[in-house]
Amino acid sequence: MKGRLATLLVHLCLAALLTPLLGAFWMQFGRGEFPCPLCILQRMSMLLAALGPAWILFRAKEGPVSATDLATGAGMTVAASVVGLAVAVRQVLLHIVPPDPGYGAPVLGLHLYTWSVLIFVASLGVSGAGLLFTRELAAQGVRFGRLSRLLLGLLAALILANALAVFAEEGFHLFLPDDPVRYELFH
Amino acid sequence: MDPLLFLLIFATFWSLRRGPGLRPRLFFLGSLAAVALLFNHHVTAHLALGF
Repeated sequence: MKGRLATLLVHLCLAALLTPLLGAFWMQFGRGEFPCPLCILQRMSMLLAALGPAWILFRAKEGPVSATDLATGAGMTVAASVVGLAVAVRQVLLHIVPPDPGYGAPVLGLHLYTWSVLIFVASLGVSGAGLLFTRELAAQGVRFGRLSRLLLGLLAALILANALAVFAEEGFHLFLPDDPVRYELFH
Repeated sequence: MDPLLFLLIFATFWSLRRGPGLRPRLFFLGSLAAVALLFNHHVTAHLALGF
């Protein structure tokens, strides 16, 4: 029982940040949508936010996790979420005036960038709450197990897969076009 | 530019994996600053177009 809450929280945070990234891949390759530059920036921010819980898991692999380790991880997530939130809000504001239909297809009634705002706000809230209780969570300890290894492997795979996908979309150009319509590498 | 930023994020991940200390945190801050700078580039490019 000991350490279950802290371990669960760290794994949940990492999984909650990786799930939308998997969903974004499904939208890109399953439904044939092309991510815009702001979508890519939100993916980068979400990956950076996921490095917070990843840091805590790496430290848990080496030994007992201290309150400083927990605070460092939460700080990483907060800093990356602020950048991601700025990008997502910018994209919401670009498409907020009617009759703009928005960029891409909505998922459960909301566009991906609106989901992104909600996820970054939630991530800020959870990290803030975690920072309030670092001493108690550190006293419980975080356990490194098979699920941790799986999530960290998924995080690494997602970073590399995103690098390849965006290289295909951008080709040898310096920046992505505002409204991408094809994979530049193959044209 | 964007694929290179993802590679920088991967380098940060690798640095975090290798151990504690100042370097992984500096890597993280560098990646975040690079993402923020790219965001700034997109915003200013739009402003130049009159958006």
